[in-house]
Amino acid sequence: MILALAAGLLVLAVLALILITTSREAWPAFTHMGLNFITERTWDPPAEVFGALAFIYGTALVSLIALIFAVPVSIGIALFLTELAPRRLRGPAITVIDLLAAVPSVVFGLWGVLVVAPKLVPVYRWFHDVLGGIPVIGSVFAEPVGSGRSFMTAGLIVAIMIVPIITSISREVFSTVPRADKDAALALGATKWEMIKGAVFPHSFGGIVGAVILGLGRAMGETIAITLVIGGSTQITPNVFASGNAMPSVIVSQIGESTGTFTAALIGLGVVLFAMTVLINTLAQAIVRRAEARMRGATS
Amino acid sequence: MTIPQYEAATVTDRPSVNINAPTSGWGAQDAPHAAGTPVMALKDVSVFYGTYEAVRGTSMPIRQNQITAMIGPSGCGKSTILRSLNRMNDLVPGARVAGSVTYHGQDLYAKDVDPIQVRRRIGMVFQKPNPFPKSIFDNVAYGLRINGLKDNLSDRVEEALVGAALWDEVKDKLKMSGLALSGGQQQRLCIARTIAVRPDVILMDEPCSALDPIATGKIEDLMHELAKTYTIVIVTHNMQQAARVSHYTSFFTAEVDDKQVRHGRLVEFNETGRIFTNPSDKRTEDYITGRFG
Repeated sequence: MILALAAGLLVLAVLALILITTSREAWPAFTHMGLNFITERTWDPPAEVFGALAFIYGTALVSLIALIFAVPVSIGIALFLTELAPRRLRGPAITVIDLLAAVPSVVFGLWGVLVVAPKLVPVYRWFHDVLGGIPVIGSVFAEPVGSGRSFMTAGLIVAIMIVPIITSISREVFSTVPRADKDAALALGATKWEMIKGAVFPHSFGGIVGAVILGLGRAMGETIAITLVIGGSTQITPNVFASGNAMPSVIVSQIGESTGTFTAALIGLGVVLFAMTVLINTLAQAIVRRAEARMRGATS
Repeated sequence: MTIPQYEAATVTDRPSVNINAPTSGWGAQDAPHAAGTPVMALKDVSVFYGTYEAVRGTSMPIRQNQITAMIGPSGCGKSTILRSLNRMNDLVPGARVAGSVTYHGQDLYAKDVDPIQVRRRIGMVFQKPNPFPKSIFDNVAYGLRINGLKDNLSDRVEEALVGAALWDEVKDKLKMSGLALSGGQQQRLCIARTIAVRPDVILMDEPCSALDPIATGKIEDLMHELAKTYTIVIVTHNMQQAARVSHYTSFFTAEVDDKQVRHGRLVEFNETGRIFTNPSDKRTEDYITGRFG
């Protein structure tokens, strides 16, 4: 009891310490830029202009793309493993997916930059040719960058990296759905899919949100793989086939040559990233709490 | 000791119903038959889990608009037999049914029979109330929606809740979660959910075992009411309950064979009055007089 409390407090203390020390290190940049640090889109170290907006945008866009691809795939795999797959297939399939999590991220990055990115260029071009003419959607699928190193490539690579974590948590969540609930649906003449929609999903909502948030945390913090495939340019564009940059990538690629306020600004990026993940986690917890209260019986 | 065998031949010479044909949503009316004629018949039904024979050689009829009770000690296979009546056993890996279960003369386990359609016509209420984590309305509407009966949805939901004697208690809070109701109300909600899709037969697997006496009384009253429209099969641990509600009773027991393996077995099937006042088998008599089980 006391030990658990102490462990909990220790975690809190470590978190607070990280926040305080990094904020202190980043302070010169924050005072130098003010609120412009997160609203300014220019990042020009020689001119001492440090606007993180382009990198915040890059992190958000890459994470969004990763989630769009990874979430349906992961939930699909998890459903397949818990509800549909024959028993003898489950073990091997789970092992294979978990192996995906064991691949070092730098390997994913190298594979992405050397193999995937060049191969994707014609695909991007095809999408651009088909969808490029449509008003709003066209700007999202604009002219692809020649190297293939882009938001989209980074998003796809990160998607592959977060599939195992979302899958394994979703699998746990689905397996806690009571047999009685599934039986109830099936006894009403539900097909397997109708049973999943009616009994499995309502029970799993909170857990799935949790799984997605953990995946998102991983996506936002992913550094080396993104650094290798995102292209490294500072720009805000709706074009997912353009190159850009993300906060962790900027930190690792520039910290070696930085001094003074520049270093502080890079650490500031870390603080912003940390704040974003905390914010998203809090938001997700609120969503889960509300959904669960509704499920347990509070009015509508 | 011979087991009184029921002649299944008398069941099959009636117009059969095409199970796989989609129903109008008014299942009970699809096959109107006089009360008391057999709707279903089990002939020499054995259920296996892998190589283990859980219940062997069960034969009995299920009669229209009658309540058929299954009683017996734990492990006698009565729930297993019940779940074989709407193919819920299909969901247990390794489960297999031998013998024949017919519904309006049609073999429920024939290759071309769709278990989904079977369960659509033969509904089930479970031991523990198991409403979905959804609103009361959505609980009842679930079966209607998945079966494509979306017109007059709220009328049908109301009708089902009235039919389950729950309407007056919940009509002002249909948006409330089904899980916020009391245990007895939850079970009646589950009954409403089952009758909403108008099945032909309702299977009840110890529906009152998790309820207090007052809630149990309400469900029993409801069963009498439901038997006017539906055919009911109920598994119960409670002999008094079987005596109170049912028209027919089957008594199951567990036997240990020479290899020390337990098998469930139907001992006796008869009108409930006969079973409780004048059983033809010594084992039934011992059980109902409380000397065993």
